[in-house]
Amino acid sequence: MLRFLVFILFLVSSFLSAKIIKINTGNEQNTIASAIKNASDYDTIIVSRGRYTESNLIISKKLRMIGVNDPVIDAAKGGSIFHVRSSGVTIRGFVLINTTVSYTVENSAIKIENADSCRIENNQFKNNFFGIYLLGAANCLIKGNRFVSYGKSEAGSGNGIHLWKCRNITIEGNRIQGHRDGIYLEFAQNCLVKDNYSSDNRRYGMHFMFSNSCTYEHNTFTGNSAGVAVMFTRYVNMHNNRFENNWGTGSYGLLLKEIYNSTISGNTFNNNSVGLYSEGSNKIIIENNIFIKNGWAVRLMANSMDNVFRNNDFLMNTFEISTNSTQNFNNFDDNYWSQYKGYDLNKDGKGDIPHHPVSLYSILVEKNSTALLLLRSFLVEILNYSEKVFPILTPEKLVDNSPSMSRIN
Amino acid sequence: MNTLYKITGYELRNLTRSKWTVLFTAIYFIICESLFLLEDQGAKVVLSLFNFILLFIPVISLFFGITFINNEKPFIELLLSQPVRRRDIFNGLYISLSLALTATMLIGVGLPLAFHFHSSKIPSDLLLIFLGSSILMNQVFIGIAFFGAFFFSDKSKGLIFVIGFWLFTFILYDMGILVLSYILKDYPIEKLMMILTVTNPVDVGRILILLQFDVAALMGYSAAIYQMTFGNIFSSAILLAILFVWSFIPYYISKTLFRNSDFII
Repeated sequence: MLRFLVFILFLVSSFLSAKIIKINTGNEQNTIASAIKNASDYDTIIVSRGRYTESNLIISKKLRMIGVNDPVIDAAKGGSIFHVRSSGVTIRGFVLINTTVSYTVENSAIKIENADSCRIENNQFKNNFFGIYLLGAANCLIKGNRFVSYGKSEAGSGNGIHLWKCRNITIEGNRIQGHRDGIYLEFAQNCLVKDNYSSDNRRYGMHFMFSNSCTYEHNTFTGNSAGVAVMFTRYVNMHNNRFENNWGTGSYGLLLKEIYNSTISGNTFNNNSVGLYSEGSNKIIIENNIFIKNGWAVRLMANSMDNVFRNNDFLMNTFEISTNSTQNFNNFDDNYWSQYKGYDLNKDGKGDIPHHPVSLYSILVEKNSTALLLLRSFLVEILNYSEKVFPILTPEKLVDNSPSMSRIN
Repeated sequence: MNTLYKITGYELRNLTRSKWTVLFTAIYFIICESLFLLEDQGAKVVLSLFNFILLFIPVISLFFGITFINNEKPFIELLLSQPVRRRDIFNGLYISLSLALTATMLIGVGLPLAFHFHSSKIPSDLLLIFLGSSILMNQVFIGIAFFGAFFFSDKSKGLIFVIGFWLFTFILYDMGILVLSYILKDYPIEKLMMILTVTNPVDVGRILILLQFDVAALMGYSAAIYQMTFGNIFSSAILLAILFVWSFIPYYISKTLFRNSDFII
């Protein structure tokens, strides 16, 4: 009890000592930089409407930076805008624009370095190189921000939200557009990526490497030039996301490389060249997903093993499953396949004859991509049909023994 | 010129009275209308129609075409005994058959399309490409039918040729491309394969459809060449031009054959 009282007292006293510093454009002396310099821990700096041309604002105190009526901070002089080096910093309600492209320094609108418990909320980021850059941060919240950038090339643009060696970061409800990677996580542990909308980025909607035990759910990734890539990671949970409209050669809805012990459930893969591409990924449970109108719903390389595909809907895909092996060590039972042509005489909802989701043509294409020129030709239909009747070249064991007769999800 | 009109007019009357042309019109109409019943997005209807037409037009043009000419052969011989120019006879036959078959298609498909044009928002460039390529496909295979009829004086041989041609363009040619692509798969053969594909009128039709889909992106490098170097509209125009060449060559050859033929039975 005493401890609690002391804590309350401490809190109250810290609030009492905290100042509120107001900044506006009218006063030449009154810059954000000087306000930060004069402030002490737990102060609040309120920046009102206007256009401020300031950059390299190093925050090494526990400050609350609040923008009222969308003040604009322009980084025209070069460098980053906010460089946070203290824990417990809040940055809210700013419009941060024009950090310049550099090939040696990651100029970012907000850079957080080795800090704890920071909150970045409801800011707008326009035409920046990097949006938010977190190095060695922990327990931070990035919420409700909007990022728009206009990078022309992959090399000449930065990431929207970039995490490097972070722990327990929550990225929630952001909209990211036109960066290199919308969200980039490397060596990030226990992070939650939720309700974000990442579209039209130069490379990946989200890029994810060496980031164990992360969860991402209810995000939408659409129109990115290469979709979403998840690599070299264990224990990832991907739930209820939408992967859409990633068309083009070398474009994927979701790319998995060396992923282990993860679950992918309730996601929708709509209108991608390749819905789910898996290379060297093992022990993944893929359930209750919808694969609709993709070129390839799933491309599973031979080094992917012990994965379980169950209760998924495969609807109107050009190729349902494609693989480069005649062996199969994955399980495909209990899915719904719109290309299934079987029947259900005993009315148990499961087809009576097994479904082979790999067509002969997809094998041919996998071995020799020039054969794609014959897509939808009469010959291909005949070849596929004859192979279905009497399978020789397609992997015999890659089979759904109890295909569902109706849509599951 | 007058005789050309007369022959064309006579043959057209003959053709329009035929039960077959009515049947073809009905088939086109029913298919098109039922597609609109199943799907209300105009673009998709046009694309499935495209698929259907690609299969149906060659069959009709080839088989109906050759039986028509074979039936008319005694009449042709009668005409040849009169002071009528051979060019007029040939053109009369060709024009009347083309007009009749194009009309069956345009009426059968065009009426439902015109009726649904606004309500289901059919993209007009897609519609133009569709109509253009189906008319050209029609001409290609009518030309082949004429060639079969006048190159082989034996009627059954002509029919066998037409069946063979159908089989060749639909299956054997693609099979050849597939095998060739396997034999040469270690070489950069994309451009060669692309050129080989567009020398077959059926494949040209198929690629024309694919280019209208997003599916073209699946075709990888080759489709990327079509799309990026030419743009969608321009590459479609090139493919249509190839079809035009295809429709002209058999017409020209069979006309020369007809003019130099002895017609000894």
